[in-house]
Amino acid sequence: MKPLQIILLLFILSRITAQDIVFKATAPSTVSTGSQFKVIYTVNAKPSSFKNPSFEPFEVIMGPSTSSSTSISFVNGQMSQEISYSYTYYLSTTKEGKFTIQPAEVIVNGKSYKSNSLQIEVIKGNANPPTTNNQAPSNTTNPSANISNEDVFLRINVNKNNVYQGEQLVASVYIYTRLNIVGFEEIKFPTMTGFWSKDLETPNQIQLKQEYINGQLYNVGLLKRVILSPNRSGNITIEPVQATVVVQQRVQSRRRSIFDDFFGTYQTVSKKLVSPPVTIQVKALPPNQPEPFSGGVGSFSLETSVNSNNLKMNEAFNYTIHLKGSGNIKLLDIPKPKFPSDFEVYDPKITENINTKEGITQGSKSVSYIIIPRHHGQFTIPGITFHYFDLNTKTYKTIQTQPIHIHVSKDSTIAATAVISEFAKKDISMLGTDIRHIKTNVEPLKKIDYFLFQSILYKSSYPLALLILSLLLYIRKEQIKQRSNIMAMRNKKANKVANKRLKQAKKFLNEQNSEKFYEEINRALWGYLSDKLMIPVSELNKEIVIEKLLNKNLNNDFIKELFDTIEICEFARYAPSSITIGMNDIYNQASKHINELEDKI
Amino acid sequence: MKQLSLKKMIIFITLLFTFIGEKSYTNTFNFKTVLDSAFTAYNKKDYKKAIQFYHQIIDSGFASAYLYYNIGNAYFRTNEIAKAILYYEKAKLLNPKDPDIEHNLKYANALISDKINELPEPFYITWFRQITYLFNANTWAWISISLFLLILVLIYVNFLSSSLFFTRLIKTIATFIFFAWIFSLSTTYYTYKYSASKKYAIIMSKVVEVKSSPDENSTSLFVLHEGTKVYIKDEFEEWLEIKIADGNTGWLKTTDVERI
Repeated sequence: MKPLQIILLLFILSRITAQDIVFKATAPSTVSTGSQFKVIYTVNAKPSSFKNPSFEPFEVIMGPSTSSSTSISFVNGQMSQEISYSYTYYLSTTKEGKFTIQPAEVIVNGKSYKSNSLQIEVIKGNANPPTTNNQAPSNTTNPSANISNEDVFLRINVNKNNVYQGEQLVASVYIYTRLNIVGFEEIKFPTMTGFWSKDLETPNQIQLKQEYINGQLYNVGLLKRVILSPNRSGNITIEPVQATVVVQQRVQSRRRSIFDDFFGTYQTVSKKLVSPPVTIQVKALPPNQPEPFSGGVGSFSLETSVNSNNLKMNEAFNYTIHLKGSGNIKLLDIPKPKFPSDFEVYDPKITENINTKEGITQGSKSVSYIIIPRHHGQFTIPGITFHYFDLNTKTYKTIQTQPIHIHVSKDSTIAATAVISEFAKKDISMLGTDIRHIKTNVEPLKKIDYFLFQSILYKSSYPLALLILSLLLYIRKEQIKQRSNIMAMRNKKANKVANKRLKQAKKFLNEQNSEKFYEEINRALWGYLSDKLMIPVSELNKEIVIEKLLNKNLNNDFIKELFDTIEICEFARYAPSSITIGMNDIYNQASKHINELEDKI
Repeated sequence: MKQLSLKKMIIFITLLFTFIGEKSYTNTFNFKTVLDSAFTAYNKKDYKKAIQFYHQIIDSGFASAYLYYNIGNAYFRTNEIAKAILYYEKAKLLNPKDPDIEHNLKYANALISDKINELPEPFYITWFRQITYLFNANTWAWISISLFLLILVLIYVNFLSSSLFFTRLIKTIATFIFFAWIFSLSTTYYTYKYSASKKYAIIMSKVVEVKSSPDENSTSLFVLHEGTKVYIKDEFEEWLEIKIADGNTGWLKTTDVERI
């Protein structure tokens, strides 16, 4: 219909001479709410001014944009010139009904002309106008968005707004559109601060579903799904999702050309979208939390098992804790059982089998310990106490598993127990991690900060000790000096004493008292030697005397004679009968020896 | 007559040493009962009370290695690790080789927050220190005096003797003892300096910012936590210049530390 009208119009226009001013307004007779349409005012002369009417209740989205065209044609030698000026407005409205746009006014050559008025019927909008044209759209991206926020928008949907700390919820990001979306330039998903989050799988290709919102049909596409588990209480806001979409839009050409009308023009428009933020109310878990709390929120069951209860020493076995249920399985701690201390326990192997169905994660988690008992006997692995928060009853629940008894028998095949004892020792040293006990006996107590080093005693002890030593040495020296004085005196008197003794001996000789005589001779000789050679009586003996005499250069014969005489005297005292030499001779010899010694020393 | 004078002198010296020697306590204060009540309080886990009793004795001016050790344990049990370390260190000064003191000090040190890498030191210094740890300062002083007296006795004996062999033997022994005496003098001096000069201290405040100069507004160089042992290099008014085991130095307030 439309193209025909325009052809007709063009036909008429071409027939009009330059003097006939034609001022016309064109617009679609029916439009839908929310969609844009063009109102074009065309005049076939150069106007000096243009006055547009009020477009109420329409909204001017763009315009006026003016354009002009001139065509000159020669037909049978006659030149005809055609001028066309057009003013284009893009309008849109949300109201339904029939509206009239009053005529516009132009002034050409001082004369005012009025256009026709326009009747426009607005009907309820339809998201995607069916593409009547199967022509390829022109790819001119128009960044200036003339797309309303109702045509396309983002929204974050959560399945729960009010949760407990640790409870899981699912947040989904949807795009709602009534336009033809070509693609996304950029999607920015927020970082989920305050949550533990895990992305759920979403199809690579966005599948659009149709949905009515406020009576309008929208195409809805799921962009992202994520499981959230708040890790603190209070109001936590999920930050908005930001995206830039590229929308393909059909535009009507300003130029009235047959071809344009045939082909239609599509332009792609990019539009920045921001979703409204979503706030989640997170309730704190009730107080009186049992210790140790696993952090589990949901519903769980816990089992423990061993693969063998009856085994031999040094034989490995498995101890497995199996947790099943739904909730934040991934996040919770499974308590470590208290194994008997002489079990060798290796680091556990943790396997998880978790899947998500309808926004609830469920599955199982098992912790498997490999244990080697190093001793024989009966052992008990105590049960595990597991506390969690049950969402159904809104209370804390406790699972208590049964203790497991293990019988370890002696291993007769292994004779060498060295390795085993080594492990046992290790365990003992590992257990001793505390300070040692106080001492019962703290005495003797001493004065605090008393230092011998700086005491008078210490400082004086050195000079004092030296003083004592020198004193002792001095005394000793004095003693020696004194003693040597005595010796000198005795030396001087030696001859005198000897003569005195000899005289006494002579007296005994005359009395024929042989015993006394020999004794006196003996004393005379020894006494003389002692005094003369300065040998104390206590140290007097034959060897020392001989040594001293030899030192004084006395010959051997003399010494021999001297000691012969002494010997005879000693003999005679105890066995007088054996003596052959007369007492007179002895007396003479003795006095002779003394005289000789007196001369020679 | 001469023998008599020698005997007199020995008696005189003995008396002299007895009078000016180490005075044991003659205090009327009954230590025994206080110690007993401290011990029972500790065993009843009333550590605060045990600390009070032990402080009564220390305040009267007497102590022993094990007294410090016990009070350290009591502080440890009340979670005052810095105080515990302080008293273990005091105990160690009096009894450097005791394994129990060593163990508890090590254990308490493992619980403090500062882990400082010690600077490596030459092996001979380590050896020397290990030897000084054999006895406390006063024992070393006694050893040095005894060695000196022994040398003097040997000199005197040598003087008396007339045997050539004996003389030589004594001279050799005396030379050895002389060197031992010189060594013991140095260890005496070192241990005395170490324990009497109070150059080491323990950080008592929870957190201390160590400053670049003795001024509140100067740059903070590093942060120390309670229980760390520091060496005091210098003092200025209410400030101490300290050095930690890794060689870093800085200033902190006197009130932040307690001297060992």
